[in-house]
Amino acid sequence: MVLLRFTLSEEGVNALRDALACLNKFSDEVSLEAKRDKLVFTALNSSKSAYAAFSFASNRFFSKYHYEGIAQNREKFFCKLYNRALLSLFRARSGDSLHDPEKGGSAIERCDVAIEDEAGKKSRFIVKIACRNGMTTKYRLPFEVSPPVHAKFDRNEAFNSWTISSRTLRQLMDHFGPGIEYLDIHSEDDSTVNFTCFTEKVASGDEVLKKPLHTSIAVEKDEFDTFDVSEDKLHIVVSVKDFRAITQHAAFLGSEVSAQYSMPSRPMQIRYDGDGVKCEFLLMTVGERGAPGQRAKKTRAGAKPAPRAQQLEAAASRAASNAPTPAPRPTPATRREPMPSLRPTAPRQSQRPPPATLDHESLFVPQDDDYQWEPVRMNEDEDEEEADARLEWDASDRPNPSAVKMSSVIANQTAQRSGPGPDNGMDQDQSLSYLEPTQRLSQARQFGLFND
Amino acid sequence: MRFKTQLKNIRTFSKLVAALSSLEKIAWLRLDDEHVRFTVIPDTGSQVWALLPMEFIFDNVQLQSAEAQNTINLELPLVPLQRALKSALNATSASLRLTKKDGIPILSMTIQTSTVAQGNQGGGQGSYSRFSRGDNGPGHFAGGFGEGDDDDGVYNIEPLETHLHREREKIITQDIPVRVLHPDNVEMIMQPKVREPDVHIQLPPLLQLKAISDRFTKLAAASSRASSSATATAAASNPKLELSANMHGSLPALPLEEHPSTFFREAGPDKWASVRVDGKDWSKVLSVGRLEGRVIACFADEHALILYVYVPQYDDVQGEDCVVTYYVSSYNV
Amino acid sequence: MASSVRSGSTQPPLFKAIASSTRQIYQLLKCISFTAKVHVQITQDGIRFAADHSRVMQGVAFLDKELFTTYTLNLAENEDGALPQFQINLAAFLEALQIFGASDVAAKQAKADAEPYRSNLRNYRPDAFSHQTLGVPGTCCLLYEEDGSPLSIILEETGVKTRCNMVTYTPEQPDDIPFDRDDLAFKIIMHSKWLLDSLSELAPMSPTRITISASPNAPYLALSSGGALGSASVDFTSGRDLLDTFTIDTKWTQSFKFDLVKSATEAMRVASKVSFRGDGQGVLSLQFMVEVEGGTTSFLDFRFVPYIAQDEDDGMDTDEEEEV
Repeated sequence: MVLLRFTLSEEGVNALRDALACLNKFSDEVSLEAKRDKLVFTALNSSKSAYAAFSFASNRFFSKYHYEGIAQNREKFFCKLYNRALLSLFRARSGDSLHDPEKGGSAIERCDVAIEDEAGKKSRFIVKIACRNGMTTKYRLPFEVSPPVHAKFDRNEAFNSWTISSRTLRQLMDHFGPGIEYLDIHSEDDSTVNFTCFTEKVASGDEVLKKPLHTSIAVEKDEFDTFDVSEDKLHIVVSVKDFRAITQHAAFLGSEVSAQYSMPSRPMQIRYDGDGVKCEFLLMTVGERGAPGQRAKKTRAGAKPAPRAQQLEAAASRAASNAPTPAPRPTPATRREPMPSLRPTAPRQSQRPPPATLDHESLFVPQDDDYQWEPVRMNEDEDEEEADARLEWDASDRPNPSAVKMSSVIANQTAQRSGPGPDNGMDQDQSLSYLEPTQRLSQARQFGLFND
Repeated sequence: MRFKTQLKNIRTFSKLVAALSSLEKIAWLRLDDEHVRFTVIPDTGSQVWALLPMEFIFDNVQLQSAEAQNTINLELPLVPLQRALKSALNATSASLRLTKKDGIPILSMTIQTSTVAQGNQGGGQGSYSRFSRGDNGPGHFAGGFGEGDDDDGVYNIEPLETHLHREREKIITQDIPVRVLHPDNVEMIMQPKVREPDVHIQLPPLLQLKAISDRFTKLAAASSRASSSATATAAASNPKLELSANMHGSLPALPLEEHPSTFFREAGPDKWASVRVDGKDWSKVLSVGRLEGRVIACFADEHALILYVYVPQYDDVQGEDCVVTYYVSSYNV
Repeated sequence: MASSVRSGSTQPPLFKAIASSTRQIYQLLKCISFTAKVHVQITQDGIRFAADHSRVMQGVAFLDKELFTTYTLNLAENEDGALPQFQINLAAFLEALQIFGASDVAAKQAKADAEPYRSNLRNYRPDAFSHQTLGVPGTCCLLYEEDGSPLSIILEETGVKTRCNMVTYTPEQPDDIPFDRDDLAFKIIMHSKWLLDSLSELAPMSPTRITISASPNAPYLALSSGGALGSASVDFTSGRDLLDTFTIDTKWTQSFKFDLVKSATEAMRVASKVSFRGDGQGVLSLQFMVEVEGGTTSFLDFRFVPYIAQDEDDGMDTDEEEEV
């Protein structure tokens, strides 16, 4: 029995995909919640410190939308889906108008989605994508009926707020390098707001050089559309990864981003709207009231244990479905598992710096055709791994063998000169006259070079 | 110890750092009153000594050190430096200063930049067009069959400055961790001494040379992969390229007698000086081409190859060139 | 791989062909690069390259002699008149072909890069007499001196001369997968892009097998698969006009290993049309027509052996028929 049916245009598919791509940065699973007036996709990250929700208005976002509901629960239906599958089937099709001007090729004409949930039958999330040329693809995905966890936010206690253009925010974020964990936002004085990125990873000895770039940006306060923070120098600290995911999506929509929060270790709400969609995020902020700046320093020095797990508070719904699912789960406890603060667990996406060339991730003006100068890659997989191992500065505890210490170089130098192995051709006992190792141009000219 | 300077020629500086970091991620930076010197010495592969006149990348330098000849020696990670320089590429001004934060010495780069302010938040926001983005791009198997979890690729490059309404200034601070090296430890690291080269030539455009070299390296790799499943160590099985040169190109004759090159010249065009280099290492060396300098290659037959890359100061024709010297090892057959 | 130049041979080589570009040759051969070694047979009409994957999939690329400016096969030298055949490492051959053009592309790039602000650079001014400026094309020569000798690729362009000697291996010609033209179950001719698009619709579900059905009535042609993430099926119910030729008697359904069909995607990409046929034994034949510059048409031929019919347990979902 079909309990929900809706139709998307090509643009609708694109907007949905953008939202799913953003949700995917929080969790592999996405929760769907359907009501008569809206369809909501949410995700809560594994450490329960970040929550994202996209609410699509049924009358504005969809070409058609019909919610039937089921007997057990007329009000709403919910389920969980594996986001990667959704992302791949809602991907952009090549509307290759060059090869196929008359038909628009395999660009999406329309996309019909239906959710079937019936006793004794497999529950299905069915997507039918019709391309302009007439080809039709039908996908059937399994889903699990389990209630979404919504994080709670008390707007009344959140007396601090600001709004800023998503584009400005995105530009700021581009200055932050890879490997950093936290973003600290605070007002410096009456006219400046400071965005500072830092990491809590302890670094000592040789590891010092593997610390990520520490970046801070002073922004004029009037760059914000509003900035209403009651307490001066209130440091509010969130996870960079989550914040970046939000700013990237917000920049697509080009909307105004507004943030509301109360104090450290209480959630921050970030909101913005698109056409027919409301986007809302809750990020648990780190730190303690009073001296967040110092706290970070102390932790760095190892004098203080890691901050206590900070999680969002949940508001769960009751399961109601015919689908053969595991018994309704107990409401996920909010403070049960010991999770390490906001630090992303086992980063799936390695935060390695982008290959210095083809810099897809930056808005800086690309430098010429720099990729041509990248070293050769013979065996793509193998090489990539090797290159990554050399580029990663944060993800592993292993000492990086490529980190040259000058002292070891000194030790090696003597050995290299006399030792076997590649013939360096730099024997000192050659009795021929030596050329100064570094030539000035004038010296080169003496050999008849560059005399033009 | 005190070091503070304005930065200039940031694009060239950034390219130099990119070229160096293709060989090794950490460099030795030596500063004195006249020169900046970057040295990278990888465990295996070619080493580089880049000697830059101070005014090549710095301006208004304040340098003060208790060490002899007023020198400062630092160990410097190149990837964060490159990243910081990227932030500075479109800056109105940028400066660099050696300082300490939380007990850790850092090179702190202060970048002043002005970005667009959106005077008007109206409907013209569509420029972040999702239709021009390359997420799964032109569909098909490039995206379809690959593991499509290339999150960051979803977001394309956007123009930094578009509609200028009002410029607002931002001050960006990028702190690069460094280690201060004691002069006793580094002053004994010497540039390799090499005997007089047998053949010296000006290399053809590096882009061309690199394109062909890389193809050769790949070809050798493809051949060895298919013909043997040998489990030799990676370095040993890496493709080697043999480079040879003779003294019968278009360069003018050297007026020196008893110079090895004179001997090679007199021996006729069949007299070649050859070196064998590691294909992957050579490709990293050729990455210096991005600096667009002129390159002289000096072949010491069967021993070593030295490249001198001369990068002129574009804004000061009279200025001293920057010289980047590569010492490339030659392998025995 | 050493570039030792053969000398002393006074006889004309067994085979020699010269092309002014390697692009088409590369493009065609890349389509069958799903195995390391390929079988090469030189005929009077062209060179046939065949790749075989465990006798379950085969791909053949035929380089028509029209792709070459000169093409000489001196069979007289060969007593019994047998056609030369051997195996080569295709990956290495493809890399070698790419050396052609590498330096030219680089040179052009360098020229294009010379933006005005760098005009004070005198370093590598294009030489007025360079090949490039004069429009002198490069050449690619394939040379096979005699039975058992290496296959040489000699590339000349822009003052760069490259010679690669590819080791040739003893031929071990696999039997062709039999495809019975007299027992055709169906034949469809369509734009190869539609086939490519169909496969890219199925790919995200990470399927292990693909089921292909052709039927006289709607959906005419359907490709379906199931995988860990769910199931997907593409049909042409509303796309009947995409099938330029459509000949069929009764419904034909067979399953194939998805990854094998996927290895033909490069062919789907470069080809303009595909002839899509199945025979009574269930063997699938895909013939691709590749139109290259200058009007020459080349063909690529792939054959696939199906799974045995009753072998159904691949986790495919069976409740496919309800409509949305």
